[in-house]
Amino acid sequence: MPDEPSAEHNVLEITNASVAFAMERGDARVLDDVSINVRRGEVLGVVGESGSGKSMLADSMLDAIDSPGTLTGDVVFNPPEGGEPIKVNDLSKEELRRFRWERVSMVVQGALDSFNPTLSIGDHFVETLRAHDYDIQAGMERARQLISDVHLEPDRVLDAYPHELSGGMKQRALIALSLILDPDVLVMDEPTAALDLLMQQSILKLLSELKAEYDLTIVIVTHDLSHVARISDRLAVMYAFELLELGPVQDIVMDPAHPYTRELLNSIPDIDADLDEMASIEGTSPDPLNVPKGCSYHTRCPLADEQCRATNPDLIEVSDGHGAACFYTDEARETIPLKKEVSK
Amino acid sequence: MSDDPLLRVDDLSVHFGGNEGILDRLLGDDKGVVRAVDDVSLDIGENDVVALVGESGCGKTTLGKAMIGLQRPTSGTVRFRGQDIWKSDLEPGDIPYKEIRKSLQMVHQDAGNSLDPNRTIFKNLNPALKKWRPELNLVERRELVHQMLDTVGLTPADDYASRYPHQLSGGEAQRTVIVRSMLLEPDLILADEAVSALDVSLRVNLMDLLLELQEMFSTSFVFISHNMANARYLAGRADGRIAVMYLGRIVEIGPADEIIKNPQHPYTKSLLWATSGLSEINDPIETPPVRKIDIPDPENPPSGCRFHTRCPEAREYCTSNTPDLSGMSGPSDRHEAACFDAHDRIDYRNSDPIADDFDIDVADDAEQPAD
Repeated sequence: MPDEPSAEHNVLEITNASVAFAMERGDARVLDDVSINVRRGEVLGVVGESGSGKSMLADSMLDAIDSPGTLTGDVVFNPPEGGEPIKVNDLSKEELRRFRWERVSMVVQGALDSFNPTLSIGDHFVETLRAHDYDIQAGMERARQLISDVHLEPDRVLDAYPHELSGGMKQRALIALSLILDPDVLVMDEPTAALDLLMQQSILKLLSELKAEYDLTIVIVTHDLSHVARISDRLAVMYAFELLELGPVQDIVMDPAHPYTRELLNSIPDIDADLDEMASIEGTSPDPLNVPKGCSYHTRCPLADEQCRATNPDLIEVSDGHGAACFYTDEARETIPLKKEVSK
Repeated sequence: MSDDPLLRVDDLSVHFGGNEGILDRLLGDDKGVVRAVDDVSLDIGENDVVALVGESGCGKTTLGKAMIGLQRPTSGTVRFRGQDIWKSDLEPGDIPYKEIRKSLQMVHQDAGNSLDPNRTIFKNLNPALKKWRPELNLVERRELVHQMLDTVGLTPADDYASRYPHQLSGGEAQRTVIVRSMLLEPDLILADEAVSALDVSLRVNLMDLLLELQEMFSTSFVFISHNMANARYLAGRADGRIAVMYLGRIVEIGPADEIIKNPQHPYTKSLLWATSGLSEINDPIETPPVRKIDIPDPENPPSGCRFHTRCPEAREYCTSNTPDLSGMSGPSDRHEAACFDAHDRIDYRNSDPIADDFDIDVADDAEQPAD
């Protein structure tokens, strides 16, 4: 899809990114030729079910693919202050070490276990500052500010050990830590998955405040579309290691063009929707070693025909800034009604 | 006896930890005691569906386990068809303990881990049948297992029966565990977060299956969830109730629709705030309707109404008086809430609001909960 590649607007430009793992049973492609740009200052929600490749896309943004996985394609970072674009997957180990945290920072999945249990929360901040040769004193001032920003008490939290904090507090402390070196982009992989809903929603609220205050670009990867919809500007929908649909959040939620997105929306147990309108998607997601030929969704898609079984559709623009990888976007809109439309 | 509900829970409390020594008990020293469930009463009828909702650590799993006899209560009773399930001297005419045990079943949170990885699915399911249905021979048991696997959509059944647990997807493992609990034809199944681990696209399907089975076998269900949308789907479709728990107590209970559309307790309202639907995507996220986002230490719960430290409506009266669950004057007489504000109590109205600003406060409790 023509996602106008101007360095002005895009902080990250990902082109034809693929990740493959060599396995006994063959090569597993866990990210398949994904191109997507992250615009400066936006919140991009990356949505997909387990095993859709969404974490791989997030990891690619920092070239943090675990060995023996290999990343091909281009990941380019455009510094906000101008200057030469940085090709992330060409960086040396040392350059990459600096790039992470200072340029793009990540809150990984299972974040509650990300703290070293033998260090206090404050030690984690000091360690990070030291590893990047930052001024410790000034850095800790910033740390205190960040910790209050996430509604924690700096005096108490900095001296606390991870086990002394509840899950929600740990998660917030980790968000503060990820911002300590003033990154431009914050990538979060399921940042709230293990938490209670009240805490999840509160953290999303905090993130929208942090974004405004620190001029951040945020990428949130999650399985729960309804949860990130309100904070996101754009949504990217992934299925079977590919990007199936991308567009402004209103378009994706109100008028999605891909059959998968439409069925996914209908399957979400939504609190406002009519109980009778919810339905699951038949079938299961494909195995990474055995992704169907043609469109990867054709095995579950009610519209699939010969063309879909033979050829994998590219992401094509269906409206301004809204693209879908499907041959039959008009038919999809006709034949798969959204529960929202029905209930209204 | 016939008037007794399937299960009646009366003033049930389950406390954990603390000083167990005789001296401490004589001195009444109960420091460090976690009141996981505190003074809960609840009836479950035949063919009833109740969804227990609350944040982690609110005691919903402990209450569920105490209800089906997996956790001995500290005080209070659980009666199965009128008989205390912990009654030790059975009299003639009483229901034998074995019978009660069999009638109250559980589906655990992590389906994959509750199957024996070294046994095939059939061998995982067989022992329960062998024990409880001794009149069946192997061929009949196999047939019954296949029939049930068919019913839950694990077809071809003979293929699934010969698989090992690691060869099942998450959804399939969940179905297998449900089959295992259904094979005994229990009267009540406790399903602990039965769908939260599944992909969103599969949840409705599994909940529909639970509801189908519930209807087919006239089983009652207690469904534990932290997710209001799931609770509403299950309880709403089965015409059941939602019970909201906070720090060991039920703070609101009523028909699913009433709880969702007409919540009375501020805590229920805050849970609903956290479950925003897709129709609100254009609105920015509002400030949480609680004064603090962290749960207080369960070892040292607040006095009076336990929610008063976070409640936006709290007044001085709430800090020293504990509201009981009582009926709301509304369209449903089954809707009850434990809140002075909801009942418009005069003593509450006349006391001062708690002087705290309304935004989320810095979490400044002296002792914070640790996981």
